[in-house]
Amino acid sequence: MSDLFGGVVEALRQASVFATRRHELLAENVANAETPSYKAHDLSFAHELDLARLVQSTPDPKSPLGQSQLDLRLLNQPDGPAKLDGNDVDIDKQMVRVSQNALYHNVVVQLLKAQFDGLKSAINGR
Amino acid sequence: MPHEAMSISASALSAQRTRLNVIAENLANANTTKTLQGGPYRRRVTQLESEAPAFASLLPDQQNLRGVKVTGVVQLPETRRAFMPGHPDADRDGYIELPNINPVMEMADMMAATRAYEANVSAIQAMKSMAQKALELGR
Repeated sequence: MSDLFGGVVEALRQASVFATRRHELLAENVANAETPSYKAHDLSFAHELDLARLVQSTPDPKSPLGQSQLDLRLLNQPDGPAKLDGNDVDIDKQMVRVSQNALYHNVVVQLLKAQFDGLKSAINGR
Repeated sequence: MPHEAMSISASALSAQRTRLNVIAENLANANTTKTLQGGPYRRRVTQLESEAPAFASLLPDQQNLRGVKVTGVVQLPETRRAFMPGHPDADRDGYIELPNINPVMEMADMMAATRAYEANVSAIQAMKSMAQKALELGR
């Protein structure tokens, strides 16, 4: 599969896994927005998908896409100073991240769909 | 997995609903001078705590995703006294014991709980739309 699409599909698959995992973490932060002494965390994708690279018509052979393992890193970055109860979740920032992440996921799925549609039209010959 | 994110958000929905129920109870009993336990009604506060769900997640450092749960509804002992001679529950000096409930505080708490509930509903909706978009891939 990675030969057929030059690793793009694998890279996009990893990006969508990342978006799903990140949503779980953000949902956890939102759920615990009022839990005393709860600390917010976030997830980062070590090789964050560079959408510009995917748009290139000829992939760069020196840095093939989707070759590396999905490298997710857990971040413990507080949104700001903790409240008196030790909780440091900023619900507004978290909600922005939730919608950003959902949009990111939509972009990734859209790009995946474009890949498959291209293959489909090649098979159909129209 | 979508169901994990949803069960985390769902745990918060149920916790916030419990919180709202307790606030409603406090507001309804703001002037209750007699209870089964004797004495006036006492203000109750919901205690929230992160819970470790039964399922283990596949995150890099085996971090378990935690929902939220209500660990208890605590009764606060404070009451306040008001001068109301002639009230059936008044003592010899004409004072009655009333619950230490400030309706303004309860209303503010209620709004916070409602907003927290809404935030979790939004998180569930975001997950739903992500899952639906992913399902459209097969078409």
